[in-house]
Amino acid sequence: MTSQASSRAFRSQPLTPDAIRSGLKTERLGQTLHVYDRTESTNSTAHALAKKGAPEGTVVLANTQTRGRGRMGRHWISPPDVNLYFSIILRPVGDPQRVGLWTLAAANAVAQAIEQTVGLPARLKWPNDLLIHHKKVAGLLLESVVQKGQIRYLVLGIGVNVNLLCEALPKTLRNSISSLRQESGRVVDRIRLLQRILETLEIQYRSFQVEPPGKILNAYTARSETLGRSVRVQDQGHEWTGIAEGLTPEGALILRRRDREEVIIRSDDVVHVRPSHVARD
Amino acid sequence: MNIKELKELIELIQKSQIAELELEKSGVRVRIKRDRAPMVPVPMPEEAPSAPTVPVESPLPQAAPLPSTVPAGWLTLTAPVVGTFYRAPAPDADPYVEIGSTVKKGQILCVIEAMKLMNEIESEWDGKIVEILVENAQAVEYGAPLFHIEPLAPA
Repeated sequence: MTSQASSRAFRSQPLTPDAIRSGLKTERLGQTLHVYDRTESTNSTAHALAKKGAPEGTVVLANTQTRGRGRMGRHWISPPDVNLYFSIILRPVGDPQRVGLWTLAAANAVAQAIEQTVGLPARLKWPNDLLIHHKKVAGLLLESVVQKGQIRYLVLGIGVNVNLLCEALPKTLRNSISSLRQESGRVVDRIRLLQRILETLEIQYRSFQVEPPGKILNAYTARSETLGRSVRVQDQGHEWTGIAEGLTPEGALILRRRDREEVIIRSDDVVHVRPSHVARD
Repeated sequence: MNIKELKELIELIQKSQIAELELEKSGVRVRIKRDRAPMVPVPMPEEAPSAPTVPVESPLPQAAPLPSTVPAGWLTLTAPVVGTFYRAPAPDADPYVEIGSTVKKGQILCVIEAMKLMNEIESEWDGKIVEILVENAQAVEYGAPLFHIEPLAPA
């Protein structure tokens, strides 16, 4: 397995429902499974299924996405055979306000699963980007539908760059995006990784519903690459720089600007500012 | 500026077409804004030297407080979460709804983002959007009014 795995040319394992369910140690997550060779976006498909009443824990997975989405309609690069693109339908009960913390809890769970699988430290860029060696290897997209103050359902979309070779990426992205294979030097079993992510997420999801926010925030903070460093925050028409000082109880980022003023960041894009003397090539 | 001057100023504006006026005189700044609500002059001291810096809850302007008067029969859809209000799914996309749009119960009206969780907010009623109370990309607090909706059938 090892010699085969390290060879450059590898035969990608087909993602079939049977292969995924075989040995999957979850009660709900992934037990209802929709696998597509290609779909526009697993999140969009999951929305359609959730509206028709799909049970909690339903997973939608595709070998490739033709219109993979990131935040605010951005594109998620989704080549076939190499990566994982999947979405999970959840039906959390209770205050929608608290569910914002789920972004952090879920990102932490995925990081934990990746770390266990590839043996490299996985860090988190606030709130939901996963980094290995400072490069993004996975991201989460969470979309909920709210009516009358209640969450009807939530779709948790996860994209992991597993065996993508970075030479397949545009040059401009190679400094900021990578894959597990690229960083570990080994081909990673997509199915085993998927199972581990689903198992870790299920445990995290169960404890999320009962644990106090402090515990979730502490676990997240321990893995954070954003806290304590200089960041630039930018979004539609504004920009600040400062030190990422901490998190609010809801999981929002506290930014201390140079003029000592505190800014609470809930939605903007955060860029890690790296001092030039430690800049990577 | 004394009370008499202020009163004259308000009367002057009431008679005019001016929507908003800001005036500074001897270190005192006054802003008078015309609204549907009764006009209230807001004296704003130029600088409160001893006041501690108030931490800014959010860099973006907060949603307007609940207007005191909502025309009878209109319904108000409020924010179920704290976050950033978006009228469209992407910056270059068309807004979900405009003023005058007819909406159905369960139709998405906007998104409120918090910690990268995009909350799609659905209409609670069949009706017509008569007012959109928050600007795109503005921060909203829990319970902030977002839309006024005229229901199709009496609620």
